[in-house]
Amino acid sequence: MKRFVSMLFSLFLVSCAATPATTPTLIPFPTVPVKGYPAVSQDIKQVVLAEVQKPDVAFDGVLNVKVISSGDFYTANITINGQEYALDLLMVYERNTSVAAYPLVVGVLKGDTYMPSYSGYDGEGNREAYLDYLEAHDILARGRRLYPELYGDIVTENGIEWNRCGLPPLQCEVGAYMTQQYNLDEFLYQQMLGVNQPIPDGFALAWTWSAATPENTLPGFDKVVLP
Amino acid sequence: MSYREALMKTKLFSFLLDKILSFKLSPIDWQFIRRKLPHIFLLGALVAVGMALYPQALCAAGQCNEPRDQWCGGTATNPKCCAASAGFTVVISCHPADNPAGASYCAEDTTQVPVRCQNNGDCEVTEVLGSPNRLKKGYWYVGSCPSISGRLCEKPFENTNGSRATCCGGSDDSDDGGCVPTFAPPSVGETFTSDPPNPLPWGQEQPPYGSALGVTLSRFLATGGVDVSCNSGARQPITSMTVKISLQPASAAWIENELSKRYYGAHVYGSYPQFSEQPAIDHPSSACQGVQQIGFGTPQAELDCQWFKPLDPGRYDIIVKVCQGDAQCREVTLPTPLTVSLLDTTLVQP
Repeated sequence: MKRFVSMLFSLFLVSCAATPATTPTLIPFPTVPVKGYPAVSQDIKQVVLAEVQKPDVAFDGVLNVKVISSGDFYTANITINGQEYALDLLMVYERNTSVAAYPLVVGVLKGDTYMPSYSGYDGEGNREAYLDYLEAHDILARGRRLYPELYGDIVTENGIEWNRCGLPPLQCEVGAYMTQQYNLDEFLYQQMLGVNQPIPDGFALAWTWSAATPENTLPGFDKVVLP
Repeated sequence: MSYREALMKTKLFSFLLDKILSFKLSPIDWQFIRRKLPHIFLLGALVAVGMALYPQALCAAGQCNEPRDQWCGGTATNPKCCAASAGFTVVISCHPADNPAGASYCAEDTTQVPVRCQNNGDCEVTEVLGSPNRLKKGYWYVGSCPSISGRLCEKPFENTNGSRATCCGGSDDSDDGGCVPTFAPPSVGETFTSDPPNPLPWGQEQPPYGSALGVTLSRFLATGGVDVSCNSGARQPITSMTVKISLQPASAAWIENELSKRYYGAHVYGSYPQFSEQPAIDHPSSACQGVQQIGFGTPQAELDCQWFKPLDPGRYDIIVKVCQGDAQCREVTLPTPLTVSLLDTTLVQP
């Protein structure tokens, strides 16, 4: 009996060895390179890392980042639910775990309604007056320290819940669109946006922001000298 | 090993053994010792000085991990050494920001200023390698932001949050005898909101609110005091806030002297200071009462919905008392008084 069992076992081993191993078939996976904003150059990265302190990690109820203006202002059009929006954008460098470059929403135009994002502006609500103000006060100047923030019920542990938005409607609509379209809020929470992955073209930060100006900042510290 | 090598080793061993066994102690040459005595003392003194200066020498080199630097006051379990400092914090900008409840305040932006400690005998900062330089008489002033005014923030204060400027490293663990933090008293924001913005004395109000609206004061802000001993940046949590109002003496005098001439018998009705009260459940201000305290138990707190019945017209001082976790309290009279206007004349079209 013993011999029979051992023979059976030997036969099993032999049969295993004889069966050719099935080689997994590699199916090529189509990789589509994400078209993103260009990476921050090394010299700019060094200056921002040295001059800007990383903000505190986000906590429930408040989310803030620190960015530096690149001075590059431009306008882009997007369509949300079939409606046209014109976004006035400023390319900025965010100081997070590293340094990321993406546009910050300066203002949103929808039809005849314009919504400024700079919290320090309390003038007329039309685009021309607002942009004139920003220019006159040099707010978008290259190197300017800017402080975008989001606060209130909208900022939760699970992410930004735009359906609770208490901000002006245009800002909420654009913000919600950015979250739905690009889903980058988690990276913003973790201060990892653009650190290990490119930031896709089209994304913009639609938060309210304030700025370091000569009125609220020690002389010489309202701007960072960028190369 | 070859036979030859083994033989050689054996011969060498027996040679050395012979030498050791044949060694005889020669008599002490006292003359030689006497001659060399100054050298011996000098050498001993040098060794003693070297040992004494060893920690400071390491300190100056920025590498005194062991032994701990006595000057920094650490313990064996919590060594505090004169380490190369990563830099000291300075508040450079104050920008408007909001807490989760939507209350505005001036948020700080900071920068790090590198310093150097090169004294041989201690770890005091000897050189500031960047700007702004906040080193004054051995203390480093971090600065702080003023209270928000409207939606505007002014420049940071430069002479606040001072602490001893040293390169002493190690953790500030008070349990094992390390740096024991002590905290500045809490600070109180200078602003508040008033609903209605121009209140009338209790009972003079007009419809639609009926004849007893009173005044609800909100948005009192407080910040816990910062650690001034260990430069840890830690702040005390706010534990309590109370608000009371007090008719200014000038207003009381005005009622007694001026107003009493116009309205016979006019006098000061209220007794002061007057504390906030709870409005009746059907009062318009009762809805506000549920959300009075925001951020208590944290360093940034806000007190809302303080309801008062101002019985007299005039200017009222608003006195805010704030206490923090270490039982330190501060009582502040806000710079802007509450003005309660007398509804004097009702004009009627003839």
